[in-house]
Amino acid sequence: MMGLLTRSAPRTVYKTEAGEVVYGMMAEFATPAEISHAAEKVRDAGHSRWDVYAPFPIHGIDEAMGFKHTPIALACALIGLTGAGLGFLLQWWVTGQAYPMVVQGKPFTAWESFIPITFELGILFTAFTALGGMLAFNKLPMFYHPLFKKERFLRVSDDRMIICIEAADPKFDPTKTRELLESAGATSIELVEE
Amino acid sequence: MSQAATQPMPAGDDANAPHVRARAKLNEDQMRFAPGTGSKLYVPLGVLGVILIAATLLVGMMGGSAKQAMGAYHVGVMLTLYLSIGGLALVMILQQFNAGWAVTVRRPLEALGSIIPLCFILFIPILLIEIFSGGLIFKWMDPALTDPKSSSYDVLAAHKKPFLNTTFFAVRVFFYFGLWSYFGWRLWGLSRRQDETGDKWLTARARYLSSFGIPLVALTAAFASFDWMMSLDFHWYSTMFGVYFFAGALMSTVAVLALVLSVLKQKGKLGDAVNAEHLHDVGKLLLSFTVFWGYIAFGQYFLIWYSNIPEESAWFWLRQQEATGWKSVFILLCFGHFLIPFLYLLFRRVKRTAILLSIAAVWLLIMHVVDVLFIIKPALGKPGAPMPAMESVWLDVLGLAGPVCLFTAALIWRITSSPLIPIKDPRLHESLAHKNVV
Repeated sequence: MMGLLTRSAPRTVYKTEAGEVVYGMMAEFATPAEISHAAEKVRDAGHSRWDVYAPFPIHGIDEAMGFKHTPIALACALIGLTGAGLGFLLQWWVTGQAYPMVVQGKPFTAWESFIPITFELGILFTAFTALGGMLAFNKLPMFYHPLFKKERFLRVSDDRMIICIEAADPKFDPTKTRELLESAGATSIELVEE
Repeated sequence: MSQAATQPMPAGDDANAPHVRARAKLNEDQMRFAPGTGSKLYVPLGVLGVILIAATLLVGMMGGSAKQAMGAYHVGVMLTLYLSIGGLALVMILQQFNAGWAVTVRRPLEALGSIIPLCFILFIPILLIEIFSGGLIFKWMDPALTDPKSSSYDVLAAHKKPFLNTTFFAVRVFFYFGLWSYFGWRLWGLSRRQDETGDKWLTARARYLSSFGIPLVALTAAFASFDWMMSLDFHWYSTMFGVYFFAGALMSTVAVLALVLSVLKQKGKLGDAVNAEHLHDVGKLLLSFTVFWGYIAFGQYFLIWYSNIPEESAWFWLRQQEATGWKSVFILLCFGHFLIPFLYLLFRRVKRTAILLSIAAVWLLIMHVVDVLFIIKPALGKPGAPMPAMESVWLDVLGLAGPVCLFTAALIWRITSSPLIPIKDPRLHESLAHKNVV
C-alpha cells in the first residue's frame, strides 16, 4: 500500500536456481490464530512490503500487521469540502450573477435553496475520493499477480492462510526471511517467481 | 415474555459463563462509589435548585415580568425533559438492538430515564399556573379566543379546540408522564435487580419491554413537544417538530453521557470498563446526532421558507428580526449548534480523548439551551412582536437554573448510589472486549 507513495530504493535482485527473478517468499498457515501471531512477528521484524492472504476477514489482523492510518480520510474531508464549495459557487454564480431570474419571488442568491445541491456535491466528491482512493492505494484493478501461479495459493480461497514477504522489502534476505517464517510456525515455505 | 416467564430462575451465576469470567477481572472499587459519597454534592445542589425555583416564583409574582419568569421556568423544565426522554429512548434502542458494546455506558442513560417522575413534579406548577391564570404562556387557553361573540375570536384557535383545550391538555400531561415513568422505572428497576440477582433473563424482559416501548414513547414525546412547545404559538404548526424535539433530545443526552463518563474517569472510576474505544463510539453518536439536528433543523426551516405559507412562515419571520436580536441567535445556532461542532467532532483524536470530547459536550449543551430559548422565548411576546432576545437574560438564567439544578442533583444521586455499570449484564464481556474497526 505504501509503495504508491514512496520510491523504492535500488534493491538486490534475487534469482532462483532456474534463473527466474524472485518476487517474494510465501509461508502457509492453517488457522487465524497462527497467522495472527506470525503477522505480529513479521511486523516486529520491521518488514514493510508484505501482505496476508486469507479466505475470510480475520479480526484484529490490521493491528497484528501494524497498519497505519491511511491518508484517505483527510483526502475525503478536503476534497469533499472542495466539492461542497464548488457546488455553492456554481449556484451562486449561475442564479445570482450570470443569469439572474426571479423564482417564487425569492432573492437571486438565496443561500437556503443552494444547500441541498451543496450537500449533494460534498457527498459526491467525498464518495468518489473514498472509492478512487481505495482502488488506487490497493493498486486495483490488478490483472496479474505472481502468487496466482502458485498451486498452494489456490487454497487461500478455501481453508489456508498465507503470508507473502516481497523481495522488494528492504529487510528481505533469502535465509533470514526463511528463518523468521519458520520460527513463526509456517507449515510450508516457498519462493515465488515474478 | 413467554420465554422469560417460563424459564426457571437460576440459583446463581454459571461460573464458566463468559460474562462472569469477564466480571472477575474488573476492579470492584472502580465500579461504585462508597455509600454517601455523592450526598456532599447532590444535597446542596438540590437545595440550591429549590431556592432558585422559589426566587423565580417570587420575581414572577412581584414585578411585571410574570410571563417571562414562567417562560424561563418552562425552558428549564423542557431541558430536563429533553434529557429524560433522550435517556429513555436510547436505553430502549440499545436494549432492543441487543447492543453488547454499550453495556458499560448504559447506566447513566438508565439513570436519566428513571428520573422522569421528577420532571412531572417540576411540570405540576406549570400546569396549575396555566390553568388558573387562563393561559399565561399558553395563549390558546384564553376562552375569549374560541367564543364567536368575542372581539378577539380566533378562527384557528376555534378550529384547533378539539385538541387544544384545557381539559384534554391536562389529561394528556398525566398520560404522557404516566407512560414515560412506567418505562423509565421498569427499565431502571430491571437493570438494578440484575445487579443483585445476576438473572440473565431480566435482559430479555427489558428487551421485550423496549419492543413496544419505542413506538409508544416516540409518539407520546412527539405529541408532548406539540403540546408544550409548538402550541406556545398556536397559529403555527410544523409536521417536523416532533423529530426536531427528538434530535435535540438525543444530542443533548449523548452530550451529557459523554460528560458523565469523562467526569467518572477523572474521578478514577470505571477503569478499563470504559476506555477510549467506548468514548470513541459515544463521540461518534454525538457527531451523528449533531448532524441529525442540523439536518432536521434545516429541513424544517427549508420547507417553510420555500412554501412561504403565512401561518407557517410567521414563526421564522419572528425569529429573523434584526431589531429584536433573534436573527443573531438564528445565525449563532447555524454555526454554533451545527457547523463548528461538526467539523470539530470529525477528528478521531477528539472522540477518543475524554477532555477534548467533554469540551464538545459542554459547548453543545450550551447551544442546546440557546436552541430551547430560541423555540420558547420569542413566543412569550405580544402577537407579531417577539420578546427581544436580550431582554432580562438574568431572569432566563434564574428561571431555567432551578429545574436544571434539581435534575442534576437527582442524576448525581442516582449515579452515585448504584453500581456505575450494569455489573451482571450477560453481555458484559462483549463490552469489555469492544474495539472500533476504524
